[in-house]
This record gives sequence, C-alpha cells and structure tokens, in this order.
Amino acid sequence: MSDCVIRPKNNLQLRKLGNSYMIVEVSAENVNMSNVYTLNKTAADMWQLITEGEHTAADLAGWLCSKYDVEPATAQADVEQQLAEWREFGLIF
Amino acid sequence: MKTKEYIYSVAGFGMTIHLPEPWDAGLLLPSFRPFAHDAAAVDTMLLACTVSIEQDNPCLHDLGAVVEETVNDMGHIRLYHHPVGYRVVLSVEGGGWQHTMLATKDFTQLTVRLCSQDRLMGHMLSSFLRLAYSQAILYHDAVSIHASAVHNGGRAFLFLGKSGTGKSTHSSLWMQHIPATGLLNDDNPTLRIKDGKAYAWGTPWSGKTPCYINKVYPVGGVVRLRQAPANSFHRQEGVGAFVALLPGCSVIGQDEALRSRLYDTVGRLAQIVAVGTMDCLPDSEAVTMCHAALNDIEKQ
Repeated sequence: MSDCVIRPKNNLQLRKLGNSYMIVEVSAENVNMSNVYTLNKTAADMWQLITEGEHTAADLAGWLCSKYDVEPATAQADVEQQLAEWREFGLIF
Repeated sequence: MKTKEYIYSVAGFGMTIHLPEPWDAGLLLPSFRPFAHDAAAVDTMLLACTVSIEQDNPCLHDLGAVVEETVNDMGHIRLYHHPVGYRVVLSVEGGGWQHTMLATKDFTQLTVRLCSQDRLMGHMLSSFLRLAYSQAILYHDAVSIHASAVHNGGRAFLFLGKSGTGKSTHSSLWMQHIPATGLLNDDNPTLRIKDGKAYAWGTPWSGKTPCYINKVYPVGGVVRLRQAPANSFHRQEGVGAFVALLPGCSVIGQDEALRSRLYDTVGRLAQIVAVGTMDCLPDSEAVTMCHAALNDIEKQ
C-alpha cells in the first residue's frame, strides 16, 4: 500500500479548535447527524499534507522521520496505523 | 397587485415582507408583532420576502429530486434544488394544502406563494420565514438553535437535548427554584456572536409556548441535557463543547457553504461560551447544580 497516493474524501476540512484539531463530516445515513473526528497535532499536519498534495504512505513516513527523531520502521508503522484508521472511517481512499 | 411592506427585526437582523393587500401581517404573523421595527433599528438587513396569496394549490411539476424531506412542528417540508437556489414545498403533516417558497442559495431573496384555503396559512408563512432566517443568519456569525432559553441575572441560559428530554421542564424548574428567572424562548432562540461575545435573542418562533420576546442577553451558559437516574454536570471544552452544541443547530446538511459557516460559528461559540452536558432528573437539585456549575465556569 505504501506506493499508492492517498486520496482524502472531498470537502473534509480540518478545523482547529483551541489546542485541538477536528474534521466534521455529515453522516451518510442521516444529514441531520455529523461525525466529528479529533486529531492530534501530528495527525493534523499529516492530514494537511494529504489534502494539499499527492503523497504516498512512504512519503508520509519520510516526512515523519524528518520532523521527529523516529526510526523509519516505526514511522512507517505509525503512518500505516493512522491511514488504516482513516480508511476504516471512510475519510480517505 | 398592491402590496404593503412590513419590516421586522429579529436578533438585529432585518426582514422585509411584502404582503398583497388587504392581507395584514399583524393577523397572519401574530408572533412577529413584538419584532415589528423601523428600518433604522436594524443593524444588518438579512432578507426580503414577497408573498402572493392564491386560492388553490400551486402547480408543481418537474421539481427534480428532493434534497431534504423533514416532518417537524413546522409541517411536512420538502426541499428541492432550483436554478436560483432552492424551492421549498410545505404542507401539514399527511398532506393537505401546499405552500411554496423560492429562495436564492443564500436565502436572502424569497418568493412565497401561500394557499388561502389553508387556515394555517399564517403559520406556514412563519415557518418559511423561520427556515430562511435560520439559513441566512449562518452568513452573519449567528445560528438558530433548538433550545429552551431562560434569563437570570442579566444573562441567558440555554438548554439543548433531543425531543422529549425535558428542555422546557428544565426551564420551568429554573423559574420555580432560581429567583428572578424568566423564559426568553422555549424552542428556537438565536445565538449571535458580536465583537467576540455571544448573545442569545428571543425570536418569533417558540414552539408550543407562546413566548415571543424581543430581548437579548449575553450568554451565561449552554447545557445539553440527558435524562438519567441521578444528577451530574460535566463541563465541556473545545471539541467536547463543539459536539454538545452542534446537533441543536439548524442547517441544510447537504449545503456545503452553509455547513462550513455553521461549523465556523459553532467552533467560535465552543471557545467563548460556558458549555456543559448534564445527566439529570426533573427536580430542583438538577437546576441548582446546573446554575452553580455554570456560575463557577463563568468565574474562572
């Protein structure tokens, strides 16, 4: 999966609220309901990257390594875990 | 056809209504009487509505796919896309006479067609105005919120919750147990941010309780209620406050632009207003606990 470009679902805007970050999505089943996802700073930065340009999981792992003191294997695993979660929620394809 | 112009001001937002003579807005829209205003008293001109009144149902065809369909206290509402924006068809639940509204996408220009055989025609006009108002104000740092609101000590307190949770009951308990508390609105107050502060306004829409008060108070707190076997108050901040506030707000879920404005406003409210969730019983302890908790947040 690490060489596929990650495509976020359309019109999901990252919002900052105080010290937190969130994505608000209208529920597919009921337009009167919304799903609110919270993100930490690193996840929010990662989201920003994939909405602004074309990135693969490997790109993101590289970015994570350049930003934090982390082993490439750990970075890759962390990125994959985050992407799996977003994929499960239908936030990315 | 000769028409007469009426101007109303709700939450400082001006609404101009043109009615064909001899129909009288005072009779058709009794709940709007306290909101009748001079153009000079309005700080933001919000929308203009031209009303025509016909004997029969409108000819409705080629409406396209329905965008949203809701049945609530306003009636049976069907919303359709239209080249200028939206078309709304309103009738009582289960059918009956039909009334239509054509609205620009921002809900600032409205053309309403009422069917005069419906004795609820005035109520239907009020509902159209409520619908349009609640969307148009989203562009002005304001939101129409499904809540029961009281005022006490010069501040407003709003109670949210699913239908049947006991919002009105909670308001009544405040009035019984917390001295000098009065009802501001029982169903649909407006929250508006001005100069970085949040204010709650009474409106002409108050559900089953005829409480149409043209007054404004700074917001003392907003609490989402949930029925429970014991009372407990939980302060909400940041995303928690956002999640507590959002479900009570009026928005056309399918409309990206309106939703984005709503999220901006609710996000700001979540940061400037004291917000809580409360598990509660319908008793005096619940309201004294709620009142004390909100006062504590305010002091911090």
